[in-house]
Amino acid sequence: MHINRQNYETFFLLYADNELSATERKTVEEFVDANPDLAEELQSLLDVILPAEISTADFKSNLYKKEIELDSLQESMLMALDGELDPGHAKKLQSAIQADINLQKEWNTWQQTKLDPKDKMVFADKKSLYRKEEGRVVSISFWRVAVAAAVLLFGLFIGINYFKKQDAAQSGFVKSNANPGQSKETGSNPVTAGQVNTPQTVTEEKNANAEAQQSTASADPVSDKQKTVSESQVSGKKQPVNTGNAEKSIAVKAATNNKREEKPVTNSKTSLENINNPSGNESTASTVTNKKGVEVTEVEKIPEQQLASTTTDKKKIAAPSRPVVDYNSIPPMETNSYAKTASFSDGDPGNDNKVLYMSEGTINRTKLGGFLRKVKRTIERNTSVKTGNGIKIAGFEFASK
Amino acid sequence: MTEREYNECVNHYADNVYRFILKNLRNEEDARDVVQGAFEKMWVNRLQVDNEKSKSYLFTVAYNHMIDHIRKNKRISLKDDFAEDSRGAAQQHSNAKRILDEALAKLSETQRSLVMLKDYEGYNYAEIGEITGLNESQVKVYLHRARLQLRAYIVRPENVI
Repeated sequence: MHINRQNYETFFLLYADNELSATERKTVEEFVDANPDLAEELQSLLDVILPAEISTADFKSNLYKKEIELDSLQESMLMALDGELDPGHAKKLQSAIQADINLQKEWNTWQQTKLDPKDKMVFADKKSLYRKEEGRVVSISFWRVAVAAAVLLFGLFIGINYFKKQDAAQSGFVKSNANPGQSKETGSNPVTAGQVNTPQTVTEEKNANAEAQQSTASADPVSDKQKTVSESQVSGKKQPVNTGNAEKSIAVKAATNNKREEKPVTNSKTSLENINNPSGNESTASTVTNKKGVEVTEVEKIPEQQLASTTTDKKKIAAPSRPVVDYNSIPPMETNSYAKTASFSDGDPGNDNKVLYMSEGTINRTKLGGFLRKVKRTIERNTSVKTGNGIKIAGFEFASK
Repeated sequence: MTEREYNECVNHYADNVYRFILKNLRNEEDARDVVQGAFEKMWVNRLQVDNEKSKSYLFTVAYNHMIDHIRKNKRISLKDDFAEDSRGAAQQHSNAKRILDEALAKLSETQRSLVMLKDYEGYNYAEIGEITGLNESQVKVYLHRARLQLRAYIVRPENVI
């Protein structure tokens, strides 16, 4: 390349456009130095070249993505603030902070950027968040519910009737035992009352002497009667002796109550006729079976005199309604206890003794039964539906009697 | 997770989740909706949720619900930001907590969530990464940037007490 005063303009333009190589640029610069009058012309060409006014350096720096650039101390502080710094480094950092006041200020500033966990906010409507697992639902059709209800009602009805009957029967028995005067009021026979009490008297001491019996007879007619009945049932050896004692007691009684002597006898006959005859004598009747299984009416064994003597004082004679003597359970003669000899036959399936309840007709009339009958009548009247003797509920008919 | 464990979760974590969401959304009703949605989802999936991880599960679900909510209501959120700014300019902030709350509001949702999960709930980087779907180094970098921004806001001359 040769530059001279004829072709220098071309070289000057190439220089300004930066299109020359380093050697050519140097040649141009040497030419300008040799011809200073042309230096001004080169400068004017360089001046019209647009400068790079917009620097992309800042923009690019924003575009760059780089990992955070922190010095090690600052990063250590941030890690310590997050609690992620290992204990060894944390110790070193603490000592460095304590040694430098500027670091202390820096550390305090970083600590201010940490949120306070005590800054609580309460979610007021927690109830809306609670949940409960739904249990398994089993659907039951209406007719099943209706049948179940009917069965329950039926069971309730039967149960109430059963317990009421039992209560009434028990209360009747207790009444008849507890109120001796009832025999008079109900027209019961004293002779049969005496029979009823025989369970207690059967086991009474057989070796009691005559004096004791006499005194007892005069003091307590009931016990006297019991003794006389027991005498009729004892073995053949002792019977004569006891009969004698009985006669003695009867004699004492006869002396005291001559006027009443005949009445009880007739009553005893009436009672004999009425035994096992519910219509005639509802309140008192019982049969006793002896040890050999032969059914014996105790009244027949009792001498009339004894009967007369035992029935002289009706007010004091108890007339229990349905006791039963189970002679099979009676121990031999030496048994002294009253309690052991008496037993009820209600729940004993092996016992053949018959029991006649007192006022059974009235016991069956319960309040519930009456109420149901009223309901039945009302329904019949209103619906003009004719039912049977029973009560119809939900397609079921209950017998009212 | 049993019914009892779920209800214990309600007792233990409902307030924390509510605070986490409310500080992000700055709207009580929206925060309540998000919290209820999160608990509802946990109830539905209770058989798959391990009781030991119930808290992080709850925060994860709540965080995702919150992000969805923010995306749906971006315009409203911008208006809120504007209102917040104007209000902030008008008032003289006099305490560090208020300034810090303002600085927190300036952060992006992700940065804000990271700071709150770290400071309020005490999660480590890995746990925060599980909740937010970031890796551990990302959590660290984003969290440190957030700290720098908070610091820059706090040390501004108008905020210096």
